[in-house]
Amino acid sequence: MIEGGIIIGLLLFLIGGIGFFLRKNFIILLMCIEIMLAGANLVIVSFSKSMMSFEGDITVLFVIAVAAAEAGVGLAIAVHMRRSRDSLDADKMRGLGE
Amino acid sequence: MVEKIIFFIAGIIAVFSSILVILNRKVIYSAYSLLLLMISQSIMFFCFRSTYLGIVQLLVYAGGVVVLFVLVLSLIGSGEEGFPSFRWWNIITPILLIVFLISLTYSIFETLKLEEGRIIQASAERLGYGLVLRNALAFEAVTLLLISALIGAIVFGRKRDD
Repeated sequence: MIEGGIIIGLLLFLIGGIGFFLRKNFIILLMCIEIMLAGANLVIVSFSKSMMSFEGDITVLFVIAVAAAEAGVGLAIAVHMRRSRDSLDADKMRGLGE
Repeated sequence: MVEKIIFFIAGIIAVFSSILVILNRKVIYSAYSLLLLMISQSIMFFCFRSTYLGIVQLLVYAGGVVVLFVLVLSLIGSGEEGFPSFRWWNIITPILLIVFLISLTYSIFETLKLEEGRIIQASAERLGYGLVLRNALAFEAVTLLLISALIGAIVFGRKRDD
């Protein structure tokens, strides 16, 4: 079960990373970041369970909080992008500060 | 034994739904696949006896983040997406990532001896003691981070009036 958790977590990270480099839609990119964070969470919990500890769960709580903050700011940037240049293409994401 | 079977079924669902997230043409279906991924990951946390973590995952991700994604998608529309761009770094970087992660998996299972003993239950009480007694500074830092993220989201999302 622990080995399975590590392998599934690494697979999730891999799929998220591949998706991040293949897709162009900004919201899909945010979802890929969420997938990568989910995979990392699973690996952290698996390792901490293999050491008969629950310290990893505390780390995962922090990761979940940071991921929620990241999703909020990222979606606000998506709304801003849609208003200012009418596209969600990540290739056109230049000069957002103007 | 039943736990293991449920765990692996949830893991397979998680992997396939994450593949669906990056393969779907419509972004709203990707959001629903992400919801499936988060629910199955919460089931995996329950099988690891991290009950509090599973509930937090279900509340924050499935109830908060994915609903936020769907709300923003229905607010601004998913946007047109052309064909994926195949420039050289878009090909090289996933290949490098695959090679790196395969070597990482190999080294993990070669060097570390993972013993599957008694899986400790991470209840809310234990996590609370661990958070407040040993990680109080990080806990406060996370509250500051959440407040600054809230301010940043408001600043980005407001209508420009110049």
